[in-house]
Amino acid sequence: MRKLFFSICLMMMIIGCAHPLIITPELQSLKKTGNDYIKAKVGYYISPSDRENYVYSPGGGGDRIYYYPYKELEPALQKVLYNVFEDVVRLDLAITPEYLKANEINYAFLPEITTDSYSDGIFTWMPTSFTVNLSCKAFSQDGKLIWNRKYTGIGNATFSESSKDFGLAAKRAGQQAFSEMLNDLANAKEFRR
Amino acid sequence: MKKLLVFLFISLFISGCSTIAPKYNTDFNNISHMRKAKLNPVKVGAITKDITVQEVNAVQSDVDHLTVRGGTYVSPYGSFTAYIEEALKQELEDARLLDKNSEIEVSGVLLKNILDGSGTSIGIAEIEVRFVVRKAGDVKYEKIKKARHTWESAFAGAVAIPKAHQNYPIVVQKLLGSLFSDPEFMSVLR
Repeated sequence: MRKLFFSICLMMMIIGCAHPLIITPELQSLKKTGNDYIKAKVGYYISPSDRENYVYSPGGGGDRIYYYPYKELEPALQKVLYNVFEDVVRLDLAITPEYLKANEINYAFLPEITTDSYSDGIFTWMPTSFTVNLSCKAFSQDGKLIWNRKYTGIGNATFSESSKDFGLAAKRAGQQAFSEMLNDLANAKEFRR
Repeated sequence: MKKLLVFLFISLFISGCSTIAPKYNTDFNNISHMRKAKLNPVKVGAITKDITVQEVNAVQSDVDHLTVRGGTYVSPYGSFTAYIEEALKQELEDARLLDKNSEIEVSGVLLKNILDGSGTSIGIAEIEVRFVVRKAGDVKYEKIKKARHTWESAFAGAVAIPKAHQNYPIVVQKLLGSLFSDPEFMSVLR
């Protein structure tokens, strides 16, 4: 019995566990001032494989966290686009001039997202630091690249904060990256021609 | 030693921590068709709980009290009735249909609110709200909307608890999706 107990303890210490995490930021924080919207229909494309792709990154205590970067940050992209443009649609096919013209889409957005995480916790798995790298391209209806930006969001959360909201550092990172994108987009001249 | 071993297994399975539900996020799948439907703006009234229903509901004594494996699960807005209210406001605001001065008001009564993360294979969330739409004080719509959401759970609390924690907002999104896709509800807003 004693051997069994020690082997369980040893297993618990050695084997790192993978914990699910949701990284979607609080969308209410992504607000722009004013009620003017660009009268344009825009689309965005995330490939099905990207949307269903989940990634592992480091948590605390030798554990890992896993999440879906594209699927879980898609609502933030939608919120940013809905804040700026009159109509927003999700594109089911890759961006081509023919597809955009056929669906009367004025501009199409193509995001690229990478993430990383870190935790200084020895006994806790929640990340205390999280990074979201967001790059986003926009194409006009005739397929020309008209806008290309990169943003890095870094979110930190203390142990006491992340013990109540496991994904807080990740949410803060996403919030920073998409807030910067929203500010840029709201002032971009490329879409106001 | 046996007791210690049992305790170890139990602590793997449960956790007594208190966690806060994630704040509500709009489901943008609802928004596009709401914007295109050319609806009148609405205001959001109170979402309340019906004490008489609570007493006869054997499944749950208080719709504002949720637990996940022994740990309390609290609303970031103070109560789960306030959670539904906030969710309605967010969805309508994102659809550009929220106006506190509108003569059309959506309110409701939270009848059922269940979050069950105790299962080792699936977790379940169920919600039931009686929505009421009043136009200049007259009731124009009254219906009970229900939603159920399930997800893959686990034996280990370290996996099952965060999963239950993360999945509650989805059942609320489903509930509002069923309201917004009801043609009768949409016609009252026209």
